[in-house]
Amino acid sequence: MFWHLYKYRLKVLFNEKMLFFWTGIFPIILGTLFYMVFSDITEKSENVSSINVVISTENSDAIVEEIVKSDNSFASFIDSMISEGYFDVDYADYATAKEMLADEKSDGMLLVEPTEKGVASSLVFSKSGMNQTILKYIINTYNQGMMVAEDTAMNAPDRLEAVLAEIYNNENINKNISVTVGDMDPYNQYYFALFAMTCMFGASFGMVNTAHSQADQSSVGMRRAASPTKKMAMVISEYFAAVTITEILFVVLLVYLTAVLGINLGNKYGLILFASVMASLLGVAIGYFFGVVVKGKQAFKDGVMMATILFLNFLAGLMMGNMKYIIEKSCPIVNRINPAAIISDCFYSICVYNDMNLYTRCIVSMGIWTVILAVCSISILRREKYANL
Amino acid sequence: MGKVIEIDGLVKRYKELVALDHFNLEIEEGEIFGLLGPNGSGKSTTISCILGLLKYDKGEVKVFGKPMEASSYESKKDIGVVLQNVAVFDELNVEENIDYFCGLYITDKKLRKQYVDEAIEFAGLEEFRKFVPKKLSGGLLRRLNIACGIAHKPKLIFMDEPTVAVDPQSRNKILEGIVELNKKGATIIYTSHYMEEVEQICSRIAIMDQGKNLAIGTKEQLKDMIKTGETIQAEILNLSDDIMEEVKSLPHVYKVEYIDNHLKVHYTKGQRNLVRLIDFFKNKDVQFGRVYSELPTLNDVFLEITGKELRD
Ligand SMILES: Nc1ncnc2c1ncn2[C@@H]1O[C@H](COP(=O)(O)OP(=O)(O)OP(=O)(O)O)[C@@H](O)[C@H]1O
Ligand SMILES: [Mg+2]
Repeated sequence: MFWHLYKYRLKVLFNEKMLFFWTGIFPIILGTLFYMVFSDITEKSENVSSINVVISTENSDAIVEEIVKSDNSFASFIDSMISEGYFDVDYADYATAKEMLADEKSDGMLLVEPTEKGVASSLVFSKSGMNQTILKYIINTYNQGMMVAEDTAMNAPDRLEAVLAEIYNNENINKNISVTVGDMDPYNQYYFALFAMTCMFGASFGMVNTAHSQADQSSVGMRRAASPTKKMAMVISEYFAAVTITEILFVVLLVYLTAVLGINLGNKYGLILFASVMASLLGVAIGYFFGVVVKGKQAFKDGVMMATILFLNFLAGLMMGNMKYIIEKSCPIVNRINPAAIISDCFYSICVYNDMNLYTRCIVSMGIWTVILAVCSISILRREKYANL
Repeated sequence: MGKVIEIDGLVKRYKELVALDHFNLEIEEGEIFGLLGPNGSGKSTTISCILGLLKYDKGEVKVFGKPMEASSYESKKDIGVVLQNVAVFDELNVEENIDYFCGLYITDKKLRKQYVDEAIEFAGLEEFRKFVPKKLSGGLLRRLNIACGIAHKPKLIFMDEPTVAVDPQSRNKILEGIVELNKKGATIIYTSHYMEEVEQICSRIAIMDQGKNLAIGTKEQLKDMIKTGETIQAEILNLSDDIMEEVKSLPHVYKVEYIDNHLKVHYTKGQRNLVRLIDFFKNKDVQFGRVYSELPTLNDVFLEITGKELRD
């Protein structure tokens, strides 16, 4: 029975021409447009310039340069970053630095505070992008290195010299950066946003399924309700059929971007695919949820769902680059629970942020969301008799 | 023969509106049972309640001797439904649609293939196997709707106005098919507001209006229930009131109407009414055109019970 339902559901959904267009073809068109626009830009600015960093201090009265100089290792780290061409550094007081950040004269603000152990540093960004990712990566590497060094100094002082040598080896950082970001397209985040959208739009397939599953929504729903096939068997097989379709469309998009357009999305395809499966499960569950919770005509339900998804995408910065950043500053909880933000974070975490903790957290969040939505939907779908037909 | 359907005191309300008002019905195995009623009388509502799809406020429904619930999967296996609204997938072609719905009942693939072929033949859709519903004419679409409901060879078939918007040729084919299904052993519940259809194929008929079962029986029994035994109409110009009065006093006449130069004489029963009336006209020198006699129809039954025509 599972296969019978699954197979025919695939057929039905494949023939939903409009949905197919929006979920399958539209992202491909967008991807192509991105590609055309970005390859133009990349050609024009061939040398990726160094990252503009403004160093400042918030709580200390001392002059910024003095603070940096007070910590020898930190100062030489900054110097080497400048001489290697990674950083373009300005020193400024806090207010000026903030302004530079806001005016995008600076990619990131590095706040330094003197402490007993040396300089403590933290980063502030006004948006997220490739430069921010690299900057974060470099500072993290340095901070981690210093922690290792401290640890070594306490526990194995004889190895300290070797460890320090390792930390100051810029080649090492250099190599790591290229592993992290490779010669990856700096515009990859847009393609990953596209991935997130494709999975979210799997919701439309879920919506169609609910319409066909409820006796009060469609005549086929009525005919099926009169049959001896159990509702749960239908819901489960058809849910997975919708996920399958979404996933197929996703893979087509991925293959198109990488194989046909030749865009370098890094090489973590395993992580990308796993994230897409989880995101499709969530996307389709969103469709089921709206399909059973919103009451009214089909067009109305579709409208409510699409408006909600687009709004969530907007909050997640899939439409306006720094929206997510603004929310992260003012109300970060929204980014933790907004499914669109979770899905896009998950994709960004793979290649743009290169943050496995974030990846894992997003995968878990998607799983939780999917279970919540699925339980709600099924409890309504299982309802046995209808008050109106 | 056992009772296939037993409905006792069924009440269904849609907010203020009482769609079924203490509705009772029993249907025997092997019948083609007609549920006749005008639009909005509650035919479809009755079927939805029997199928266990619709919540109702009061009463009891038994199918195959067992209470019918949404989870009565055993009973549902033997039921076929042809709903009033065409219920097929626009995305699947004729053959796939039938196979899909048949597959909800029949898991054996070989048997299913045979059943699907038989259903396609039954509905006369051989040449349209690969057509999607959008490409089918209205009549063919209705036939597909029927094929999807009966392919699994159910013992009990519900047909809710399967011939609406179908041309006479397709309609006859459908009616023949229903009789054929019945001959092969299926009990059929057939709803319609076309009395001719119901008279043509149904072994017993219930007349319903405003959610009530007003009368039930064979068509002969139903016609016996009413006063009208025969109606004779005659075209006469300028009939005088005196003659009218005299016609009224003829044997078995209980009502006389004269509208648009048409005289309509209602008889309770009796024989040779036509001959007697023509003789009367000749004696009185009344010039008359066409004269014809009609036996009572279910419309007369409906008219007499409810005071209104079956069709508006
Ligand atoms: N979902 C609903 N909400 C409110 N009223 C309804 C609903 N469905 C049916 N009704 C009302 O219940 C009554 C019975 O409807 P039903 O569809 O059973 O009639 P029917 O005999 O099948 O008519 P038709 O010949 O037009 O198909 C009608 O008055 C109808 O308006
Ligand atoms: Mg009806």
